[in-house]
Amino acid sequence: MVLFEAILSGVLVGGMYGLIALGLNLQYGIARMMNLAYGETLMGGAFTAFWFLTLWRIDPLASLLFSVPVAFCGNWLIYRYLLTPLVRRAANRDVLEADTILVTFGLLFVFQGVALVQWGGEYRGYTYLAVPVHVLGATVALNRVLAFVAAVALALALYWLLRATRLGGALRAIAIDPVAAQLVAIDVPRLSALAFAAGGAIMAVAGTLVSMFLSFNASIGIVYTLKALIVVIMGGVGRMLGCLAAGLILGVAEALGAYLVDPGLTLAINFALFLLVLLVRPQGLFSRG
Amino acid sequence: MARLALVAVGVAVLAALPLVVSAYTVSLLISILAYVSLATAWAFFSGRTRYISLATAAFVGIGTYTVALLGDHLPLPLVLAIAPVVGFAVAFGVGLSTLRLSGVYFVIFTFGLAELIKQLVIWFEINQTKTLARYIFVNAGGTLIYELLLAIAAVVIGGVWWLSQARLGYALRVIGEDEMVARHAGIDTTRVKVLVFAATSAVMSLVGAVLSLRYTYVDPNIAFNSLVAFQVLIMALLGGVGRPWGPALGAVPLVLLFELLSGTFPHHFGIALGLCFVIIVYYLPGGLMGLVDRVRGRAP
Amino acid sequence: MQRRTVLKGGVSLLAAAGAPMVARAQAPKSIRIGYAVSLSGPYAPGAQSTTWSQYKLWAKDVNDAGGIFLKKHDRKVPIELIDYDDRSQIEEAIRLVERLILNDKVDLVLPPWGTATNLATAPVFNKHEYPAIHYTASAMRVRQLGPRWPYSFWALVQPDNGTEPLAAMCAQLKKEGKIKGRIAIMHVADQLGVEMATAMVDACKKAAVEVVYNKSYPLGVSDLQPQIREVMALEPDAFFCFSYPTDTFMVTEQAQVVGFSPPIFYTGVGTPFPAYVAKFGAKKNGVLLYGAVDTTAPGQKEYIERHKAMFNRGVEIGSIGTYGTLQILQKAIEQVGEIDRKKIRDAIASGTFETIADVYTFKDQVHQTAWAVGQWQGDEVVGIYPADKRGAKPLMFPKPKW
Repeated sequence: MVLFEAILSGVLVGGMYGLIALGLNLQYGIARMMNLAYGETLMGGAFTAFWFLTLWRIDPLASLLFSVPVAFCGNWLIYRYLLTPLVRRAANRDVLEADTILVTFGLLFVFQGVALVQWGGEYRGYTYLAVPVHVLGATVALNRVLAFVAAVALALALYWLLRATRLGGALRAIAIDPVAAQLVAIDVPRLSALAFAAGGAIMAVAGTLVSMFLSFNASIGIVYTLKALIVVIMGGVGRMLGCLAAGLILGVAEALGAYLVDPGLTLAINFALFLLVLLVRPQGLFSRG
Repeated sequence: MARLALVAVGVAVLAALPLVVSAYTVSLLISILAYVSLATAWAFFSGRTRYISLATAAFVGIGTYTVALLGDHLPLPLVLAIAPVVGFAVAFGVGLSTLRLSGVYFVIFTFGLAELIKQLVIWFEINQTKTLARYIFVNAGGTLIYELLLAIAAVVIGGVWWLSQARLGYALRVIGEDEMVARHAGIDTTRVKVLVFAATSAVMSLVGAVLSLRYTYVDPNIAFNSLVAFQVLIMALLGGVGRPWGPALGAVPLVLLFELLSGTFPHHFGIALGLCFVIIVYYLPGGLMGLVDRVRGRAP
Repeated sequence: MQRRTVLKGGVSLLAAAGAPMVARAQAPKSIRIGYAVSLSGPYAPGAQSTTWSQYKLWAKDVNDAGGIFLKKHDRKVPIELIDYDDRSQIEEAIRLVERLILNDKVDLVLPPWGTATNLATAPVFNKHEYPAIHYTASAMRVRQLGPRWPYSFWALVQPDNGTEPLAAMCAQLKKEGKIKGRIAIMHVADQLGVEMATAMVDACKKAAVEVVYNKSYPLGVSDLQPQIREVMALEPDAFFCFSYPTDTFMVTEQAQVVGFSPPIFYTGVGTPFPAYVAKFGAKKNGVLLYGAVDTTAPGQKEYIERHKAMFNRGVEIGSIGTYGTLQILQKAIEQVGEIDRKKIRDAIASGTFETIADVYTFKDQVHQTAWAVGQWQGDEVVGIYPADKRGAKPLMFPKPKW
């Protein structure tokens, strides 16, 4: 029973890992932009939820109506006005990657700095839906279940979108080869911006949901960026279900490791598993080619 | 030959600096020299082969922990000799096992590796010593640390300059452009990559070991600080990775910039630094080396 | 150096001649006090709320009152702060303290935030003979460092003092038949957590109470439920988690979700934070925590008002304690009557200082009777142990169910 609950608990954590990685998968996998300031959107979403609840007693879920459009527009602006000039001038992909890493690294500092000045550095947290839910005799927290459900729903929706719609087909074409996509009359700049902005919007959702059960502060973004990167790489760049699956594997491994081996080793197990996967399947678990 | 003499005079002048400048300036120079060596070593492998490594923090940390573990038991020169050997050995193993990875996979692998090593050290310390703290009471003043780092920086830059003109530098560059072509040209890519990765990592461990003499207190979060990896990467990219002098040219102004900003805008450091990065990318494409080239009127 | 000697000579000469007006004219325009704390990076949350804000508030309070009174010049001299951001990096912190001392030539330097940063910069303070009262630092080793670092004072409770009362409490409750004396320990895999847990195990051994569980978890873990379940299955009646803020919040929330509510429930750093109050409301009642302050100390109420006016948020015991160390410094300066760092050091070492947090005395440079254990009782953190301290309240036992 305890074992079952440990696994279930790991599944929920895994869902959260998948959730925070989905947006990056759109930004890096489709729009081909390595965005190191990615986690700052999560921080923004978390702070929005926090302030809406503390200042105006507005439900964190309702705050999504504000943070998601703002994150979408903000990320769109970043892509359009900061990253597009780099795409235009880049001689090749390596140069572009180096440039975007530098610029987004700079943005990370700017956003974090603004948040520190505006909201101070202290830890924030609130209690929302921290009520026990019983699943087949095991107990889990409702707020974690909510994040898990959102992760699965978003991953499935993105999978469907990419596989079954015209827009998705165009996005996949961009992911594979932007130059060729341009040749077959796909509006690459517009759709890339769309994918990038959508990635940001998803991160705002993740931020709101994660803030319900993990405390946060102005410097927390980079932690989630790096975690998301690991999940994306492990699941396969551009693979939405792979991303979810990789998150789940990591989450369950952590929980089982904590339960069966030593809780002190959970993160070590996490990284070791990731490195092992990369060594065995360098292109990620769920990528062909 | 005249240039060589000039360089020798330059190093001699630098070596004499602690005699005339304040201890604070020495400590600033220590930081500059450490990052010059780290960025130069990093760029020689990662810049040329385009295998971007984020494991810098791991190798610096290995050097730090070598001193922390052995500093009380062995004479300092011996400890400083062991540190790069450990770094070399670890990097050699890592290099052999990561040959199949390239691009972003290699980047994230090296990051994950650094974190894994940190976690394992933490776990080991908790279970072995029942504390995370290690104390380093080695009697080394700022001047000694400065001279050691100066020697390392001189050797590293000199070595990189010399190797760039040798067959090895050429081989690395071909690997960076197209590994297939490199193999067809008869380059043993595996051997070149692994050996250079291990050698540059050994330099990082040595720098970490020397820097730790300033610390007194060490724990895994300090020794394996992933921020160091990012800073080194940024410095090298800023300076330009293609030339022996490039990374050094990136490290010096950045350390000075950090110092200036943390004193002038202590509460807006992040914002100021971030804006500097953005400006650099838009107005200094190709890094500072590119700017030097343009000023000299050469094609970039 | 030369100028100062001339100045000193001149001052004593004139003072001897009975010309206080001239002496006053030669008083320094300000006392320049520098510090480098983590205003950005991972240490920023702790450093901002516990350390940096207190430095600012203290300087404002002192200057609002006209400054620090220097007997030698017979006048109050205002404080001028010089602040740097060490960006949560040890190497930076060391260099910035050197910069303050050697380049900016400040009169005094205030210590940074965090055990690691304090221990790493202590040699610089001592090399240049600048006194420092370290508050946010706790490590077993500081007890041995006194002779090596005569200018460093340690004001916070250290791991052994911090855990011995906990073990004694469990032994006592066991003797009274109120608990079975089964103790479970969890701790974060960072220096403070590890040293506290190690000290706790030793203390329990001495007090003859049984430790049924003692395991770490990594800093930055995102789920503690499997571990809490494992602890729960052992049915401990005292639970101690030597934690940091993020995991303090997590372990408390998850214990509530799974219904783990032993009669003794202790968590570490973060428990007294305003964010904790906002998150757990009335459920905090009865939770034991790391450190405390004397809530009856004179001036504390007014301090809390001023703090609220300046930062628009609640205080936590760590910030009160930090402010207390600044009062020690101020009193030591006023006792000496001039900026003479050696004399200030001696004044700190030998004095007894009434502050808004505690009555501080340093023996072997460590505040041996520091507050070890506090408890949420109603809406207030009260000091519980050491029980013989002024302002100590009796333990609330058992903790009400969640």
